Amino acid sequence: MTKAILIKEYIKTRRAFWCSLLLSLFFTGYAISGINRVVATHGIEHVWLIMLLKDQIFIDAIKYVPLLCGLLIGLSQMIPEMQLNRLKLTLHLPVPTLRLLLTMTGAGVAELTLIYLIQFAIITIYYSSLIAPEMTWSVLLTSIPWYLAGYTAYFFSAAVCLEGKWRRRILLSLLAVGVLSVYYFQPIPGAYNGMLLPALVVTLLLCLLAFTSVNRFKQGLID
Amino acid sequence: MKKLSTILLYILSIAVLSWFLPWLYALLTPTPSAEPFCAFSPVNGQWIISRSAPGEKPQITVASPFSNDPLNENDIRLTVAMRDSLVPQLYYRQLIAHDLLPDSIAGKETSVHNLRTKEVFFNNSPREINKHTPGVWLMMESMPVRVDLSDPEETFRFTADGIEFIRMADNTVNTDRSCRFTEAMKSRGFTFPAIDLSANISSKKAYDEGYLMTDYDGKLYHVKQQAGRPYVAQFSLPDSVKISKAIIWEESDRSLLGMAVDTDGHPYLLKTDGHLAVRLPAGSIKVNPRSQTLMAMGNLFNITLRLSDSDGTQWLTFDADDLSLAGSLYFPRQKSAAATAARYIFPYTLSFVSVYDSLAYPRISNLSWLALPLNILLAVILMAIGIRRKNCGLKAGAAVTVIFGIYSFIPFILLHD
Repeated sequence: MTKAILIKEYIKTRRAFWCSLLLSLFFTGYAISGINRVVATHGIEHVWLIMLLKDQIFIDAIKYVPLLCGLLIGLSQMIPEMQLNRLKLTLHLPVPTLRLLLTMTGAGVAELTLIYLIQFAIITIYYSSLIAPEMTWSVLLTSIPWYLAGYTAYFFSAAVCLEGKWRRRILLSLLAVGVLSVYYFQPIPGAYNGMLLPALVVTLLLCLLAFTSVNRFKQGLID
Repeated sequence: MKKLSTILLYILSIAVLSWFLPWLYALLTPTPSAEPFCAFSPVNGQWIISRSAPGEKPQITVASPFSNDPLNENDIRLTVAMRDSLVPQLYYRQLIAHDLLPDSIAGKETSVHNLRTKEVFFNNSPREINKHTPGVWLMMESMPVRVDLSDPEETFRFTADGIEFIRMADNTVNTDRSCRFTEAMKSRGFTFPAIDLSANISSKKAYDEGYLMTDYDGKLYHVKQQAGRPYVAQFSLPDSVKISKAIIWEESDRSLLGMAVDTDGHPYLLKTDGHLAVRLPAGSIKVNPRSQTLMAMGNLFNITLRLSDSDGTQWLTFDADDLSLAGSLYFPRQKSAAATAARYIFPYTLSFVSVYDSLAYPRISNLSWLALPLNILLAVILMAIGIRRKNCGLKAGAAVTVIFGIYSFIPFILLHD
């Protein structure tokens, strides 16, 4: 049954997955071409100087890409569930609700992780040949909150879609905006290093939000 | 699991509202900043205090060197022209334009050259200190072949027992320079790795003095690169003194290298000649560049420090010759009416960023017991609704609202079924 659910999730999200992957690759390529342009026009030393003196990491172009990917996959996965009351059918599958939801969100998280890992690997490999390992590490740590924002956007979009009441959907969306904005408060590289672990724990816990919406559906609190 | 997910939803809502509502309140109630600017007059030996509010003429008053109430000490009001004459070290260009600059003040020749070469004007924000550094620093050439300074070509990192230079052009280690610097620093007693570094990396400045480095034992060193070779000098300090933070100036007055603060908060002035660290007699006043915005103004007559933090602003002035304390003023931060009213509404404030650092993490501030009556009122309202609707969730929400006040009241009202 788990395999069947995973196939169902892939069928729903395959277009969004490939779109997200392309989007991610496009913006990663754009960021890298920007660095190459600086290297060609001002020399590699200029990249080091700007990074160390101006607190720049040259990959700002990808800042909101993980968030967009999370949103895209979340919406493409959960909107079909709410059309024609399909969620009712899904919940009638012979699988416990929690396991069912975890499998569904697990599929989305796996797709996002694959996209993020590809992007992360490209940036790591590119920067490793260019700058000192400490600086590469600093760039990667700076980008981690953006990926956490991507997972957050995914979990919230799932919860918002599975929620049946518009009033509560709006409240959840506002809450999502509030939580997501925390990851974009401070643009200085490495600013979030001290809260990465707690932020990761909170992000993982957010998978429970969809469970709240489904429970309300099962209790008949949603039309 | 159902309860856990509901609790998570409420915790998130309370957390988001805890920063959003105070942020929105502050946004809607802007208050003008009327921070007084002080300068110590070498003419009359008193503080000259300038204040200006938006749309108003500047108010210039006089205060005695150690006044307890500097803003209301007397009714003397000065004109801008009078202030210029009393503080010639700052407004000498204005005085020259009107041919009013005297030949000497307090026995010192006040030529433009003398005034200019003794000028120091340095600002340091804690945001520049409290931030993540990648662990790689740039090294400039202090004695370039050409007259002008050029951008650095190498960076350095610290290893457990040395310093390692990296060529930026090909991202490789310069073993020769690394060995030379490591040996030079070790021969001066430097204990690796450094715990604090200060430099102004810019090819636009007039000259380069490299780095002020605090070694692992808290000893202070001056390290720079001259013609590709290391220059290392240790500042003379008692063994018991451990430096917490040093700040390099590189201002017009080349006799002063910068300032340092030890682990007890005592400030030191760093002299270039002989690498002397002279303790400034600030009394019980502690200096902490990691939590205070620091401004240093030096001139022919005095060296003035301004230390600002969330509580207030401290001004200290020292005689330029013997570095004795010549004056001290303190201005507690004035709370606006809106800020006072906020203490009755919000039990605390959650923020993720601060003006005192460049880091992001949750921090709770402005804890206020004055919000307790509102908290209790909101809790009673929630309890009444809960009893009326026989809703246990709202009753629990009432208990939570006694602590979290408006932050939990809103989610319990909006999210309950």
